[in-house]
Amino acid sequence: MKRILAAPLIVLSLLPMASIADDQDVIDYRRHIMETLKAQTAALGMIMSGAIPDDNVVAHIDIIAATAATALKAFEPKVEGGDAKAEVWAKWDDFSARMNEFAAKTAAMSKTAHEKGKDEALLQAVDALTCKQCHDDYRVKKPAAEK
Amino acid sequence: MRWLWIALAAFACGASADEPSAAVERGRYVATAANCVSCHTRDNGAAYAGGRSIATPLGPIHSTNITPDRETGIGSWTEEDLRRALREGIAADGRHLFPAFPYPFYTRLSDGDIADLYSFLRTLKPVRYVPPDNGRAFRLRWPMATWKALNLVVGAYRPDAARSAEWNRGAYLVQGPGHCGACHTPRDWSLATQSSEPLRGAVMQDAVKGGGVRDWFAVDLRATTQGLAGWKTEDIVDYLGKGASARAGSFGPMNAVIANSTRHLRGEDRRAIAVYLQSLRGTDYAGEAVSAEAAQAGGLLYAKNCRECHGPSGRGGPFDGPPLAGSAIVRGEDAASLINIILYGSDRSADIGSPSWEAMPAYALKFTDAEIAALSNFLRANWGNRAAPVTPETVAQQRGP
Repeated sequence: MKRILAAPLIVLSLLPMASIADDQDVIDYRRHIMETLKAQTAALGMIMSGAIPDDNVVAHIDIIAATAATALKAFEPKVEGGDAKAEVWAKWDDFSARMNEFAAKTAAMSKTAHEKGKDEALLQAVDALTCKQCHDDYRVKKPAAEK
Repeated sequence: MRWLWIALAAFACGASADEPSAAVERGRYVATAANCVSCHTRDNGAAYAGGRSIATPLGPIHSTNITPDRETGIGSWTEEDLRRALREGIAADGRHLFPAFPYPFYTRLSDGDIADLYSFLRTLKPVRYVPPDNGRAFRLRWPMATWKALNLVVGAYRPDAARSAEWNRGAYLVQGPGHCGACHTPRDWSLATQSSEPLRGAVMQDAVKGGGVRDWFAVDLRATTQGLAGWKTEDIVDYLGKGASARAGSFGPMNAVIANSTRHLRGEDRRAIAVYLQSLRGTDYAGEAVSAEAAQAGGLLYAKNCRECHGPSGRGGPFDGPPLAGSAIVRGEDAASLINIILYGSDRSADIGSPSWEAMPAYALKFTDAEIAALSNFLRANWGNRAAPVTPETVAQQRGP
């Protein structure tokens, strides 16, 4: 009896979750994705500069490629704030094209890593990880964002 | 018979057009290594026509027009006139030149390089332009004769036979055309660069981003802990060639040096400079350090504002930002440049610097003087860094009126 009652309750409690994300959730979600990219590129950078052995290179590249593919979706809800400039949505065509290019280039780098090895893949890193260029145009400069 | 004359004429033209152009190209390279253009060009003005205001402790002085215009430039100068200006600091009309024009360094130029430089300068388009008058302090020129008698050692660079050709080339470029010591060597009471400790780092004056002239600290270039001891040869080569290396990114007055001079040098010349700099020894800083308490006060500010790019341990990274641990700017004997980069942010043009580092933001409006002092002290006392404490008063001075 308990089980019969509980089942619809669980279903009910799960259903609305997709739509109750408030603005802060949207901002937090895309921030989590960006922080994953940030941490993984930083880790890759340490390997590239020779500080850390390169055993995990392929894993880092795969995480970056997989995460890059999720990033555009996170910006689709038009919620200004966080570190995102309003230009993200004002110039959505350019923004989404560059996000797609980022996903494509990191996916290609991942493919190279699996097919030709990590050394070949690392040669593509600087060209694939052009975080700066997009941040220059679409991310709020730090001091203005807080205080 | 006529064909012979045509052939001879063609041969003569060919020869005369060929030889000078090789000299002109070599001269262009000397001018690049000497970075003439940065000082002899005013903002939005014609290249080499002068008029740039150069900050000195005696007030601003304006660079001269060195295009071959006969009336306002140096069009009437002979090669010997140029040689005398570079070697002895005396203009064609006999006036003593002020050492804002770095002839104490250019005097080391070889005869061949001076001849080539002359050939190159003659090919510039003459520009009619008279730079603004200098201030009162620069009216009297005769005291310069005394100053030179005391301070100027005239003569071309003499190679050290005990050292490699590469080292000597580097020494020549640094001491001669590159005139690195004009900023990186301290000046004594008479504003002469000290010969006792060349390139140990020095305070200079130059514009900060957004206008206004402030102090800067041109870092210790020797292999000391507060200087470039932690740099590999490749790091110096990268920095001079691209404006960024694994150790540092360019900002402030060094931007123009890299943009107009060092990045255009041949790779082997940048390497020679690096090899020479790495041979310079000096005393590691062991003076006053930031107290343990003051060293922690800025930690939270760092974690909230700086860590994302400079890393949890101040080491930066290729996709993060320049390292602060071991940085010659952070560890500088004077903190002026460290404070400037925090207050005003980075200011390099888009074509130099790391392709992946984001621009350093300006924190002048966000942080108080006390906060910037606390942050500076945190940086100057952690991760192996050691330097004298910074006070809020110093920050206020860098902020300006």
